[in-house]
Amino acid sequence: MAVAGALKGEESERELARTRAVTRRCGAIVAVRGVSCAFRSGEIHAVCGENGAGKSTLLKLVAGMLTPDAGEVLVGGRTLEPHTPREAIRRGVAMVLQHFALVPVFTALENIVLGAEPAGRLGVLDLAAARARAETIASDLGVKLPLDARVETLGIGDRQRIEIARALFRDARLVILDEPTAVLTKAEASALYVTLRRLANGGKGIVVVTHKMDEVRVHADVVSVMRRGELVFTRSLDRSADIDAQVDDVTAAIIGSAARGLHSSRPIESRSAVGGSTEMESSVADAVLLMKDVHLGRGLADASLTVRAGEIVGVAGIEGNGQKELVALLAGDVAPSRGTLVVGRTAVIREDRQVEGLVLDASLRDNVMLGELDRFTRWGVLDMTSLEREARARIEHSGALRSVTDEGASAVAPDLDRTARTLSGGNQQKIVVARTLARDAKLVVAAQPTRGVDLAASVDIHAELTGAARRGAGVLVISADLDELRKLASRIIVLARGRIVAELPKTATDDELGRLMLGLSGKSEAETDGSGGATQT
Amino acid sequence: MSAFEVIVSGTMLAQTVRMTIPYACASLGGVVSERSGVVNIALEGILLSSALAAVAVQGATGSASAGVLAGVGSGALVGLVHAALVVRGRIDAIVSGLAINLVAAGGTRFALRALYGSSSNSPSVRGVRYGDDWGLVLRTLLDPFLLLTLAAAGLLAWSLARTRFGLRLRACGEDPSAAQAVGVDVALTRTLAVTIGGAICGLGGTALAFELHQFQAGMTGGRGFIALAAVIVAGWRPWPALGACLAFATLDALQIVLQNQTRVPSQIFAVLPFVATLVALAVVSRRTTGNARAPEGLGKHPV
Amino acid sequence: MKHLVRVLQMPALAGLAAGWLAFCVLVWAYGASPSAMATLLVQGTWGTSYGAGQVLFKATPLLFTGVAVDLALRAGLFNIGAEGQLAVASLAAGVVGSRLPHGTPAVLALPATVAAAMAAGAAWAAVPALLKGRFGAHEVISTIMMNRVADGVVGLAIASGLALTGTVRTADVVPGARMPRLEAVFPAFRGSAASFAIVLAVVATALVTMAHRRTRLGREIGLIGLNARAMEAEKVPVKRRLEQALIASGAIAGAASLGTVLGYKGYFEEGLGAGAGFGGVAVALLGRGHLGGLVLAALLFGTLQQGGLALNAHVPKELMDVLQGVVICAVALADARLRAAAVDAVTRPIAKPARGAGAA
Repeated sequence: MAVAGALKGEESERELARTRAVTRRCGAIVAVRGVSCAFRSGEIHAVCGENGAGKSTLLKLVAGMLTPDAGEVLVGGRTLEPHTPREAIRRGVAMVLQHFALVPVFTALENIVLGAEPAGRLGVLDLAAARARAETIASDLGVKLPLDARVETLGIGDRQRIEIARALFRDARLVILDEPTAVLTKAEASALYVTLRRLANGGKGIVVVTHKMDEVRVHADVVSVMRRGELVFTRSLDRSADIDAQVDDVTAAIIGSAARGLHSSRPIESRSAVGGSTEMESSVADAVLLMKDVHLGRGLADASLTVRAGEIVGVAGIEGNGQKELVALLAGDVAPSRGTLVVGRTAVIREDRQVEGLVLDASLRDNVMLGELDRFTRWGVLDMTSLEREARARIEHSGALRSVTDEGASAVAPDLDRTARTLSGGNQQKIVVARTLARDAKLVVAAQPTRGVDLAASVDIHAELTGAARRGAGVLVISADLDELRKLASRIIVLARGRIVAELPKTATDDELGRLMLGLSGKSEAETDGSGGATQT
Repeated sequence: MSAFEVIVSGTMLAQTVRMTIPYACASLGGVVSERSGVVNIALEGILLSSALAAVAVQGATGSASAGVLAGVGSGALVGLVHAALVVRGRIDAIVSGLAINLVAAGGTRFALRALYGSSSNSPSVRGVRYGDDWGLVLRTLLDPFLLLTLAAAGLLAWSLARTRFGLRLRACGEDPSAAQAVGVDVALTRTLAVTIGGAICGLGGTALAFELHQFQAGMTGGRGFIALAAVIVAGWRPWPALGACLAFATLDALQIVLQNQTRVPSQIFAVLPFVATLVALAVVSRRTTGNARAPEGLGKHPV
Repeated sequence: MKHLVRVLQMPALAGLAAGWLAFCVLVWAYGASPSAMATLLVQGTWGTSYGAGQVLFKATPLLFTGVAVDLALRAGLFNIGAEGQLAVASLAAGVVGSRLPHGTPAVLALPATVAAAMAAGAAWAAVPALLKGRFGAHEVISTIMMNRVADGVVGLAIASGLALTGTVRTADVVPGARMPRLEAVFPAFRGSAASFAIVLAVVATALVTMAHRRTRLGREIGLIGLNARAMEAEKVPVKRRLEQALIASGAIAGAASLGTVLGYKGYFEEGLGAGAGFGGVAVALLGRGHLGGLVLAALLFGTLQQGGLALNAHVPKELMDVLQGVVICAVALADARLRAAAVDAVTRPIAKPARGAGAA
């Protein structure tokens, strides 16, 4: 499988796209700096790096979605000109974005053909031809596509397959996937890699952005590591040699020597509940959340859950299996349609911070106090002094402005007037966390607290959540990242199709959790190695 | 003749159908524009400017078809300006629409004085002459503006559903970022859509002016806004938009009759179409599901 | 102040340049000399103290409606209905002001009359506000419709006995309810209709700008305008705030009758103050939430209006409406560029966080 030592001529023949010293600025930050990297057919090329390392930016440059400030992108040996997605697609490069680019109200088929519609005279759509083609592609992929279903009714897995089918529909030879497994279960991810391998064997080039070293270890042929906008290295993985050592190299390169001794696999100290065990013997007297047979529309059914003061409970599940409803319920956005819900004062970290968590164009001062102005109001007028004091204290505590002023500029007083938009994802999230935890709520609900957040900020945020539990709050963490749940929670409940299907100790394996998330029983009948075993969901 | 007799008379029906046309054209223009994701409150200004252009060109050339072309063309031009400001210039579509309406209102009066030295109306023009001896029914049914409007509605509904351009246009309206990511030229598609919408709306302005055989300052009287309300009431779909316009035009025709026929103060009837619009708007705005939803990407730019 | 200058500078320049260009082209196309007309315009406005007074007079209702529209705009609402709100409010001012006992002292008469006007404006705005809050009806269309309904209602009121018989005007308001003219204190303004309402307009603008920063309601309204969903998630009653913003906007628009009914005519007649509501939209779009910006914008459009009258014998005064539209567009364009550049300069989000599954 390894490509090392291939002939030079063959190399260039297999090359689909290459960047030549591309640089791209995003505002003050240089997102990609002088990167030269080649992508070839017949291999799965993993691109790794911390959040903000420039992975997505690099690949968007290749896919024509961003234009380089310097350097050039070559597709099929020629400069990509004009530098647009349309031209990139025309030359066989397609990118599947992390949040997908599907039109929700369109059917799967309409989405697949959009932008490359087969049409007759007068531009009349030829949907029959499109359907035939899409069906061929689906069978080539070894999957079934619900062509006539509206995309908004479909799950994440289906959407991803539609995206891939769309890429193939326009004869893409290089398919780039941006964190395709971020929202997939282990089983779905395995199935995806089966499909990708099939494509690579058929001569396509596959590029996958990923954080997950397991995936690199098992599936990648070539790996590139990006760090702070620069390419650290690109190398082939040789599975006949010590693969663990090679992956360790990759991990080290991702974090870099300057990293503050963080390692992705380092367990966060998971403290047990204040003054008590996590076992069931603990009384319900200290419960901060009591749910009994709660129903909410069609989203949540028969949900019973207790969270006690001082404990962290994890919620696992594939997106769209009741998490949104659970959050809405606990946040008080909606009332249960049936059942009893007893909950103490609750503070919620919402899933989508840019939409629901922050007012991006307002100052940090406003953002860190969002929704609490009533506490600082007399006769309708704000007490500016104490408001300012509180905001400043919170922002300083959050550390959101600490890492921004990177090189020793931390002596400067924090600029509370800057807008939330000017912060990185991690620092934005720190503001949200600071605000939420400042409320001394009995129950803290954290939905995807570290999604799209860099490693260092994740560690800080985890520490904050753990600290909240230590101070006596009950914490409910909802996350697609099973490692995160295991790090934080003392027990993990699993949501599937709106029901709580299981409660597991934090020692539960990916496989156990994954099967439960898919609504199967917890035990797998024939233990595969969990890598490429699952073929179809 | 009693009020009732007038209302159910053939003259009244014919009148209603003719009054529907400007509303309907503006409304269809609004549908194309908004389905592509561009809010269009400039319809009022487009109606007004195309009405003047049609009258001025027919007056100057004596040709009705030249007048129609001028009306449609100026509608397309104003639409293009709106598209350029919103799609390329990225200014708020409502701001652009307001500005265009302001320029159209002031500009037509300015032109009226420049061209005819009058601040209220133009000299009369013949409009489109056809079938003088056909009788009322035939004349109404074969009104070229009515036929063109129906053709526009049919073509629009068909192309939105069945053509490549229609699919792309809808994609731009629903999710411009997604459309852009798959290689659809969102800016171009929207510009075309708003321009085409302007042209259709311009047809309505022409019909309005030719119906009255002259241009009058401010003659549109809020029709563009009511047409936009009709777009919303109709759930952004061409045929229902036509239906909604017919309903508003009926009220409009009714209030003219009732103003002259009853003792009730005329102002009460004059506000009828506007009150009806408010009520209809309140009723349909609750709707959040089904096929009559607002395009998801309305007013959004691709990122 | 520095901030203000920075924000205003570029768009203001673009607006002036585009306005000047349009002025030249149109005047030239009409067959007049742009330079001669420009001279005439300046002479007719700022050239004499009378002209300057007239500019202030024209700017007064514009500033009131401008800050009214601006207030709603902060919440993300376009109040195109200031026109109708002002019409109804003016009627209320005329009716209440004229029915007060003749000797009512100013300390009672003026507040009572203004309160009536503001209440009427608020009530008129309450309809689209409630339609927005309860039904989600788009305020642009509903406020426009309410303008037309206002025309009908005012006409009906005038026709059905609220006016002096045979006229379209109410009786004179009592002397105590009248706004004193500027000329009473500054003789230089002799003959112009400018009244102390301009001072009140500036005070109102300052108060609203301050309330935006220093009151809970004001801040919440501003934050809702930037991201309503985040505020909703924080349990701020968004719909109620939107309703409150629009209703407050209507009340302030109603206060513009201080400059027209109480400061100028001394009675209400049909059509008095027409155009000030739409002008207010232009003022708000130019002023952009700044005290100085709003005042300057009101003065600019007041100048254009007065200047239009000064030129009307040579070129149609409607020229000024066209200029207003052109200036709005140019300013909006420059502003959009400026904002895009600002966002760009600070940071474009490098890795976008995943959107919610439903939105994907």
